[in-house]
Amino acid sequence: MRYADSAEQEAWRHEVRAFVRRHVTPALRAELRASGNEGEGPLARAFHRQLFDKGWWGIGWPQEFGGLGKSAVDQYIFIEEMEAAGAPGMRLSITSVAPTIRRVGTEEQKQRWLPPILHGDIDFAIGYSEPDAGKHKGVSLLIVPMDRPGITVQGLDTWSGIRTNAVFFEDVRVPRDHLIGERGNGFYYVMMALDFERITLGSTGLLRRLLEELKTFVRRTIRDGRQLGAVPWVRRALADLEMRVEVGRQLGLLNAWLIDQGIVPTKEGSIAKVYVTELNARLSSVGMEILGLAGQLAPDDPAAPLHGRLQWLYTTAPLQRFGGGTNEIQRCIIAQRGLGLPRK
Amino acid sequence: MDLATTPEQQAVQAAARRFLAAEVTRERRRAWDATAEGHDDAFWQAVAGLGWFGYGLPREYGGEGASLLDLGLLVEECGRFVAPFGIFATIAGGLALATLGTPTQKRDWLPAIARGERRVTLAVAEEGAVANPAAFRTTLRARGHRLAVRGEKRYVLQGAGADAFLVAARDGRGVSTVLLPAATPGVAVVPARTFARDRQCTVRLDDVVLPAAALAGARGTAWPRLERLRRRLAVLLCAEMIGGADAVLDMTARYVSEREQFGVKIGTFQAVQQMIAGMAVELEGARHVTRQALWRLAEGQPAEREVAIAKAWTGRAYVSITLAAHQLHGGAGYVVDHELHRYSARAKEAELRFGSPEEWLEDLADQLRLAPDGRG
Repeated sequence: MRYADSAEQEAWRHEVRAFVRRHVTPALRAELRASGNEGEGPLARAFHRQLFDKGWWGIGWPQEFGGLGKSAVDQYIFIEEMEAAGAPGMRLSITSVAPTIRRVGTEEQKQRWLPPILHGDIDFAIGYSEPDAGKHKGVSLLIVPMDRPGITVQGLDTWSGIRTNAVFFEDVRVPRDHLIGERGNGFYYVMMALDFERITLGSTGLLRRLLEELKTFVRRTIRDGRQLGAVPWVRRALADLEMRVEVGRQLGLLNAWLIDQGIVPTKEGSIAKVYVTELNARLSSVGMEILGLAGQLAPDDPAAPLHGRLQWLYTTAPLQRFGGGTNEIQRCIIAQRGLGLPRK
Repeated sequence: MDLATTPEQQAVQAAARRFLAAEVTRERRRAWDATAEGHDDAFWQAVAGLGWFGYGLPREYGGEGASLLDLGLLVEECGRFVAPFGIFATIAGGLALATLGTPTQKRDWLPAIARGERRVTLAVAEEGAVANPAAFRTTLRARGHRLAVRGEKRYVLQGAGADAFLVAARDGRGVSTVLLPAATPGVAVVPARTFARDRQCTVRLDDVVLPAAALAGARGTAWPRLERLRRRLAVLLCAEMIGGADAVLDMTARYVSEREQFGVKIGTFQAVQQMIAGMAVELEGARHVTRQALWRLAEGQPAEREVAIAKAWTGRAYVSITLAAHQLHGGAGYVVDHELHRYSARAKEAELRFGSPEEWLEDLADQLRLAPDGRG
């Protein structure tokens, strides 16, 4: 047993940390704050390019597809350090779409789609949910190039500023080889992809960063003539968050470690997803309470403490709780698939 | 990262589980409830024969030299079966003497403790003081070449039948510990009645006179060592708790999977599934923050932060898991015929012992150094 990085993991962590220290500039952070965490702006794209040049877009991919073939724990370390530095998030094409193609696609499909994803030449959106969906059977997974005739995209701006889209398909035709995996098994593949996406969802790097910034804020703040760091409820709240973030880190690591043991961490993946997304909501809410009235200030207000990041997390947290399989569904998965409770 | 237990650790856990499953039966627990010590001789001899009391003691004193992590994995199994708490108390007493005692004391006592022939238990808490030595009312003074101890110690684990107490006493501006044989004149042991029915006691020390050799370490210097010991024991107790919580979750999952109401298994209800998933989340976190703290202590790494987190989280988690289990078992788990109440009471007692969650969060808040100069 070893509850610490191995020598190789530590070296990897330092390598990632040194890279982000050099490339995650204040200007890039400012752009991300203005344009959403996944990074649509030119600096974010340049950063992703730098990552690509280092071969870090496919750190968990097998070497035959141009990846580094690194373990899930190494990926977790990578995500943790990226988040802790405030780097742009990894795109869904890398974290979700590519692994699915790699696992269930044909050899031809892998050759065709994986290199351009890795090069950043193509980008995917995922369209899993429907207004009236609820059936799992008979779903197939298709790649639909967005320039096909019959596709209408209707942008939907969300509370957190992330744009999502309603996409309408009217008699859209794609070649037969755009079917990924077997017909009718799509739901299974989607669920499998989500298992891997949960390595990302279980990361606490961002929470660690925000908590450190919150502590710094508390050390520097006098309110009503009193050091904020001496106020009992503030101390108690920060200690509680310190504990909770550490618990989350352990759950994320457990999840990644199990993947490396060749185990699909169904129960533990759901546990990490539920825990960390609930913690996002808690930390942002309690954190804003500690900021006091200044907690209201939006990211684009120059006076906003922590650049308004807590408020941004507050508006993002609901998406994380209901997205990627709602936390209620995750709890049913934990109960049924983890603890053997009956389905019916 | 390597979260796997070694084959040796697995073998120790599996053997402990087999032994406890066979020995700690419902009938036997019932019989033990009526005894002064909370167990019987045959059981105690059997545990001693397995070497558990010496498992974590140094080899040079008849122990096996197991690390705190290895010991924790064994203690997990004791928690799983709510085994008589005397086992934990005896292991803890042995560790205390190994930490605090002089070489002579260790030579005289540890081999017998390892064999299960003698028991030493720690006596630190008082009515008005737990973690602040300046508040201790129990005092130690020199009387000629001898020492006089006076005061009252509370919540002494397994005090009835203990052969000696390791007593912490205020000594001038510091704290001293003495190894005090239970048979010394002036020592009175009064059983306390706790709701988990473990065998805690009040120990009254009415002008007890001891030879200078009773001192465990130099006079007035014991507090830092007692604090370090308290941290180790707090995490060891966390290991007990995660074993117990694991058992409670397991019995609850089985119960709701079988229990039917109006022809429907209650385990199919989403409300039930949501609750039980919440229990699993709390337990999984507890398991790993506890093992992380055990591992760091075993490796000799700084662990103050991890200890505080482990005890605060695990204390909360075990209590919350047992209360959820009561809700899900309903009346079936409320009767004393069911074993659940044993876990529930022990969970709450464990939450209070060696620092409660709120106390550890306070400790953690100090560690965060929130003052403007980055101090406490």
